[in-house]
Amino acid sequence: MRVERRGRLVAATVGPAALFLLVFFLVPFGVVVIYALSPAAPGGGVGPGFTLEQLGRLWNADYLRIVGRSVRLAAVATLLTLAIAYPVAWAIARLERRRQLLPLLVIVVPSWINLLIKNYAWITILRREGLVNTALTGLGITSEPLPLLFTEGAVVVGLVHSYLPFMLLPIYAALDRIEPALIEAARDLGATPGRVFRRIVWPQSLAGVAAGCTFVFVLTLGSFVTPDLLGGARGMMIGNLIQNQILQVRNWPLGAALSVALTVVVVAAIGGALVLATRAQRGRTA
Amino acid sequence: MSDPPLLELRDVAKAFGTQEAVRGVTEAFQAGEYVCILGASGCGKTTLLRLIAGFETPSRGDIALQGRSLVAVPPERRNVNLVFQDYALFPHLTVRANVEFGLEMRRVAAADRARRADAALALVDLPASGDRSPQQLSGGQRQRVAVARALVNEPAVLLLDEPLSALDRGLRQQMQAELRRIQRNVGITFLHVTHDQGEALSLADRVAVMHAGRFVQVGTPREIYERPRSRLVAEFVGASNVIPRARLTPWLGPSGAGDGVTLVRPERIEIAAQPMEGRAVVGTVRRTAYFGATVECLVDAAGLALVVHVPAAAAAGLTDGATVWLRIAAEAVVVLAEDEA
Repeated sequence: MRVERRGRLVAATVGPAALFLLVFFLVPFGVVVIYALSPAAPGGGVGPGFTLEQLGRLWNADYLRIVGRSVRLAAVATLLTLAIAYPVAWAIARLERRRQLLPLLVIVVPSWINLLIKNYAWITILRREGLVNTALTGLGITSEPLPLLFTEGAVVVGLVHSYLPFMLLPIYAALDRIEPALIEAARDLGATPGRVFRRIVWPQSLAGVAAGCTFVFVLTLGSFVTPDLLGGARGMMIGNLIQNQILQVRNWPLGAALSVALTVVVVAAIGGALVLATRAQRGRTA
Repeated sequence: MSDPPLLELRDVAKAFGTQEAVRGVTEAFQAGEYVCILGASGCGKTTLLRLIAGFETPSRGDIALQGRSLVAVPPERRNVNLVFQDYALFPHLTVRANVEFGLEMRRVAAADRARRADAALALVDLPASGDRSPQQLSGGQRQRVAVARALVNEPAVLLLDEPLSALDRGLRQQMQAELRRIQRNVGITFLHVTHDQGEALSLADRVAVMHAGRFVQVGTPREIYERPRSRLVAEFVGASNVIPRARLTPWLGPSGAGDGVTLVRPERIEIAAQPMEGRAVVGTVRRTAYFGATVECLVDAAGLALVVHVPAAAAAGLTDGATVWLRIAAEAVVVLAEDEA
């Protein structure tokens, strides 16, 4: 009886979410996998039959270079976001509670601005006649305007700017839970500030770091607006390739195969982060 | 001459903004002493401990350990350790890793570390719990780990910030005895901050009573209890009858009277339900309260409301409204100085 009631409770609480995932994630993903294994129909769509041709076409130097660049740019953007967000999160967490709200708002509110607007703002800053180049040439630091826009660097800058809050908030939440007395206790026991960070603060913030890195890596890896606007041809990422295959080339099976590849990379990243977070939880990272 | 002091405070003061938490403390502490700093909350006792530990910098004065000034020394390089009020055990480390932390920071070899951590855990009566996480321990056990984690470093002085306040009463008394035993065992100077006068009197070799940022009296528990210098100390430590000296004439005769105020401890007043020899004054019991070992009587006599403690076994006839006789010996009267400020 009790077991049965518990089972019903689990079904009632987890059921809707599971159903949602089934209908809006697993089923569409199944369709994508089927498309990836089907022959292309001219002008879009898929034809009948089964083929590994599209998956085979992924092993193509051009595509692999774009996948490689996507992973690299996402990784660089993630590490850069981490490097920027961690000290800021630490500084905010160490403030008195009533003083924490304002800096948190300053970080979160800009993320409500539309992604396109943020990216166009970067275009006006980075372009040939933009803010940076005008300043540099005006001050005589460079004679020629620098090629800033339509580079991988521009893409990374745009991605870091857009996804900073996704890194900062989980790290802040983890750091905020660390008792100030623990830091004093470590100092008291002979730890220099550097070792306090390595042995006490960092291990206890790992769950937040893993969460933040997962968010930013997954979101930047699949991004296509920012590489399109700020990267041009040289900043093309896997998202642009998928968009290109589906909407321009109209080779749906290849677009689907690329999507499957992207999902595999993302799942691997989340799995890695989960392992890291669990290890941090168990406290065996010393 | 006594030994040169181990720890010396010279006119130590600390102000936070315009608020002076510690207002000039001068005192010397000897090796192997158990000293309790006793005061109400907000008297500056925790700030004083944090000054010694190095988490605050004095705005005036000097702190010297073994003859060397500590003021410019960061906390990690001071040969003192602090047991935090809520223990501050590292939640992501095992009990053993917590205890070994200080040794690891001082780069003690792993084998040596393990041996000393075992000894420290055995000292606090917690052997074989090293692989557990602090969250799996009870409050009393965490307390023991916190003490072990500090003592394993063999500091010159161990600072304890209200170490027992988070424990319930029975456990607190047990841990008091434990702390005393551990201190005797290791011979390290303990500086223990508390607001509990019973704890201070029963544990300490010396008690420093702190009020408004100053030490108002420092002495053995017996001196503090029996010879408080001021009304403030008298009233903070134990129950007390503070009586203007002139009002004691019925008991002491005109020669004993004078100016100022005096203290008579409730258990030093003799009380009987029958007339007594000598200068006994008649009074009426207004209220009694039974505490098990003792009975407290509130007695009106000679225009005074006196608190009298009697052993329960000798309290026959001391009921509400009873007529009683009271005697106060001259030796029971302590003349108090006026409090400054």
